[in-house]
Parts: sequence; structure tokens; C-alpha cells
Amino acid sequence: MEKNAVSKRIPRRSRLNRLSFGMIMVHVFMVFLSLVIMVPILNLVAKSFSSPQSVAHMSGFAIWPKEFSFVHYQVVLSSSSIWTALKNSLIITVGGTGLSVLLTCASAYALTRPGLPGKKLLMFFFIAMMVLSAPIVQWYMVMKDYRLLNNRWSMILYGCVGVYNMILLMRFFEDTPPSILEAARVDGAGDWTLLFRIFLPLNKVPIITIMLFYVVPKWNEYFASGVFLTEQNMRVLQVYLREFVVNNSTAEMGNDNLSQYAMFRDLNLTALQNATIFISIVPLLCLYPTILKYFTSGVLAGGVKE
Amino acid sequence: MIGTVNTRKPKSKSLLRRVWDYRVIYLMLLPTVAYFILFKCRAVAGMTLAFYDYKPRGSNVWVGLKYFQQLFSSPTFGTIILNTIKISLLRMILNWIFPVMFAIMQHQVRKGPFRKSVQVISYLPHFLSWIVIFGIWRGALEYGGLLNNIYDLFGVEYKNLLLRSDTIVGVIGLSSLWRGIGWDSIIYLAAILAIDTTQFDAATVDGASRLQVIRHIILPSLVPTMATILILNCGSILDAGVDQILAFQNSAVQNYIEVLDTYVYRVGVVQGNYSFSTAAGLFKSVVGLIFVTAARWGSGKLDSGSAV
Repeated sequence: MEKNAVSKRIPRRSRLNRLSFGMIMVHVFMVFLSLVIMVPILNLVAKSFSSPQSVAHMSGFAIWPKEFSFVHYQVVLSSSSIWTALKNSLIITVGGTGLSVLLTCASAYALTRPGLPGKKLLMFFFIAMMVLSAPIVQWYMVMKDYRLLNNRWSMILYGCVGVYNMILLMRFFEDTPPSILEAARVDGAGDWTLLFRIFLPLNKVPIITIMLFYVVPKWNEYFASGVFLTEQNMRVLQVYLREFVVNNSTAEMGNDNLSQYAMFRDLNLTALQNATIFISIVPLLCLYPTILKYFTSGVLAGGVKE
Repeated sequence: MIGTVNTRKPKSKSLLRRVWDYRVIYLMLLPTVAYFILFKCRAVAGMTLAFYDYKPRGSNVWVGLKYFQQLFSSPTFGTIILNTIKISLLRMILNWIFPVMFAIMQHQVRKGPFRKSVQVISYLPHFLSWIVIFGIWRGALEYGGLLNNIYDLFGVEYKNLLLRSDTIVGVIGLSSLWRGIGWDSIIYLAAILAIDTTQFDAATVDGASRLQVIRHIILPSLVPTMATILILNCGSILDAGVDQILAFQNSAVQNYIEVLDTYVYRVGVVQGNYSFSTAAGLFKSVVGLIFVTAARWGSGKLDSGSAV
């Protein structure tokens, strides 16, 4: 009983500690950090949803639209080039991730088979592939040789298999209980059945994790895709964003398209850019809850076992 | 095919027979290996172009070290290397110290909705592309933006930080911190959470203050993780983050943040000077490889040192 009383008093004392100056500063810093991250983002979104006339008068602190209006989204989405860019980004992200996950799973499964002859040599090869890097100009020439420039396959294949992801997955595959495998073998299951019927369902969490490890960079990538996919009808969304947001080029949207809007002179370029930016992050925001659930555990698994 | 599980004496089989047993497994590896050989190996091997004159038609002409001489004697090269090291060091140090501090703070704050929401907010920028981040930062830094408003509150004259040669490097470092502080803290938070909680209890019973707990229990247990991260980052000393730099470059400050990767891109892909830019790329790859190897070797030393 006495022991209990002591241990009960300790948390109370430390709770008192929470009110110390240091703890107040910690809370202040955390609020400050959240504001520094969220205010500029919300300000950008608020401006994109405000009427063109009021955008210029909005301060940097404004996090709520003034005179709510969809006009900037109407204008941005009325250009056909953003739809082409969205389509290309979707094809590359979805198709590329599918292929990447498939190849990564198959390789991780193969490399975790016990007694595989030449496993050491193969691992050496993959590690070498991870460490070595080639400048973008060489990738450009390789894609050119294969006639893959201005072909979506170039971006689906670029960085197709991440060795780090493969090794991460191998750690989970190695932990699969051998009894299940033996039972399946006795039932006459081949390697393909084992992989698709047993390993993939058993390791859903790590597989979704590496899927997200592929999806996010593929969606956000703009450097290589800007080099490989230069034609208007092959552009991905991030390259479109770069032209429009960083280089301020309205040509991207099609000038004739803009001039259809009688009030184009009154439209606000910043708000148009903000609307485009927001459109590009909506898919990520939809994925964010899933990302938080799986990504963090994936990072920890990679980090803790390293 | 089934030999894997049942065979207890694999040595009695010849190598060829064993390889044949695993034919399905090799088939599974084939696409991945083929991808690496046909694309990555080809791109890496293509770096020999640095020693040749590129000819669009016909075979390339061997020129030895001509392009390296050009590279090292070019007046801009030194500046570019300095820029690269300056920016990558800044990013490395900022994204090393602050995430650790942030992780410790997260651990100190009681588990609950406040901590959770700070975490959810702070991880978000990691998932935005650099173009988007540039858009957000430009909105906050341009005239009439958030920072301008804050300057006005104090009555200080504001000049756009994105257009000033003396502030752009700082902006690069801070935006990189803005993106990474939450995400990079996860690994340290995990290390803190892995500490045996009885240590904290014992310290509290002994009357240790929060700061003492941090100094004598938390920080020492973070040292291995911090050392590993720093060593691994040393391998990318010439990686200043091409995605970020390209987004933040504008004509006013381009020369102050031109780094090796953007230079390779500009000279090679934009201007079509393939051999020269490959030489610069090869230089970067070799230096990177040396640093990675040295870092791995160093971390090995460190590990065995701490074990002894």
C-alpha cells in the first residue's frame, strides 16, 4: 500500500513540473512551428478560393477566403493542358507504382528463399546498384537510345526498383513463419502461389508502406520528367506546375484559352497559381491519413533494424 | 522445385542441379536484374563518355582528360563546388540538430491531442513537392506576403529574401528545415521511445529535473542514431538537392546557388554539351562514392570502437 502511495505521488509532482518555464517554452515552440507550417499553406489555399478583386488586399495572415469564389479553379480547370498533365501524372504514378511494387515483391521473395545459389553475388549486385549513381545527362542518353523520350515508359522505368525498399521488404519476408510455408508446400503450392497467396496477404502492412514509398516521390518528381517528357501532350503535372508557378509562364495554360475570359485582366495570377498548386496536392491530402498510418511505421522499421 | 524445404543435404547435389531447382526463383528476379543492367548499368557505364568527344553519328573520339582539364580550369567550377558544399552542409547541420531537439520536445509533451496535431502538421511538408513548397514560400516571402506583414508590424523595411544574393542560401536551408523537421524527428523519437522507461522512473525517484533527465538519459541514448545519420549524410556532401535548387533559382540569384547537379543539367541537357557535363557528373559520382565508402568504413570503426 505504501509503495502505491509513493508511486502515485511521483506523477503528480512531474505534472507540476509541466508548468515550469521550460515546458511553457516547449509548448510555445510547438505552436509556433505549427503556425509557421500551416499559416502559409492555408493562406495559399484561402487566396485561391477568394474573388479576384479581394486577393490583392489579403494579408499574409489571412487563412480564410475573402468573398468566396471558384473562378480561379474554373479558369485553371478549363485549360485542356492541365487535364493532360493530370492524366500523365496519374498514368505514371499508378502504373509505375504497380510495376515497382510487383518487381520489388518478386525480388524480395526470391532473395529470401533459403539456400538460393548465388544469393551473395546477387545482393552484392543490388547494393552496388544502390550506391552507384549516374548524372541526369546519362539517363537522358539511355532513354534517347531506347527511343523512350516523350514516352511515359521512361518515367515508369526511371527508378523502377528501389533497392532500399527491397531490403526493407526482405526483412519482413524473412520473418514469415516457416510452418505456413511447409504446409503450403505439402499442399503442392508452387513459388508463384506462395508469393501471391501467402506472402503478399501476410505482409500487407509493409507492402502498403513501400507502395507509399513509391507513390509519393513519383507524384512529386519533376526533375527527370522535365528532361524526359518535354512535349506538351506528355507533360506531367509537376512540370506543368513548374512552368506556370516558378517560371510564371501563362503560355502553359494556352493564351487563347485565357482570353476567352472577358475578365482575364482582372484575374489574379497568384491566385491562379495557388489554385493549380492546391489541385496538385489534393491527391496527397486524400492519401495523408493512410500515409501517416503506414509511412511512420515503415520509417521506424527501416530505422530501428538498421 | 520443392527441394528448398525438404532437402537436408544440399551438398550432395551438383551446383547445376541446385540452380535448376531454383529456376522459378531466378525467373522472378529476372525482370529486376534486367532493369538494372539495361538502364542503371548502362547509365553508369555511359559515364565513360567523359573521356570521349560525343559524336551523334559514328563512334566517339577518345580525348583522354580533355574535359576534366576544361572542368578544373573553368573559373565557375570552383564557385560551384563551394556553393554545393556550403548548401549541403547547411542543410545537413540544420536537419540534424533541430529534428533531435524537436523529438525531445515531442517526448516531453504529454501524449494527447495537442502532441498528435503538432506531429500531423509537422510531417505534412515532407510530402509536398519542391515546386509546391516554392509556391508556398514565395507566397509568404514576396512583397505583401506574410513576412512582409511581420516586418511592417515592427516598422522594418522589407526586401524580398528570394531575390537577394545574401539571403537566398539561408532561405534554401530554412525551407529544407521547414520540410524536414517533423519527418526527420521520427527516427529520433523512436530511439527515445525505445529507452527503458524504468530509467526515467528511477531518475524521477532520485529527484532528477527534466533537464537532467534529458542531459543524462535521453541525449546519450540518441548519440548512436545521431552519429549514424550524420555519417550517412556525409556520403551525399556533393548532393545539394537539385529539385529544391532548381525550384528556388531565379535570374537574380542563380549564380549564388548554382550547384554541381544543376550545372550538369544546364550544360548537359539544356546546352547539349554531353561530354563536358558527364565529366562533371563523373567527378560528383566518384567523390560521392569515396565519401560513402569512407563513411561506411568510419561507421564500422565507430561501432567496433564503442563495442570495445
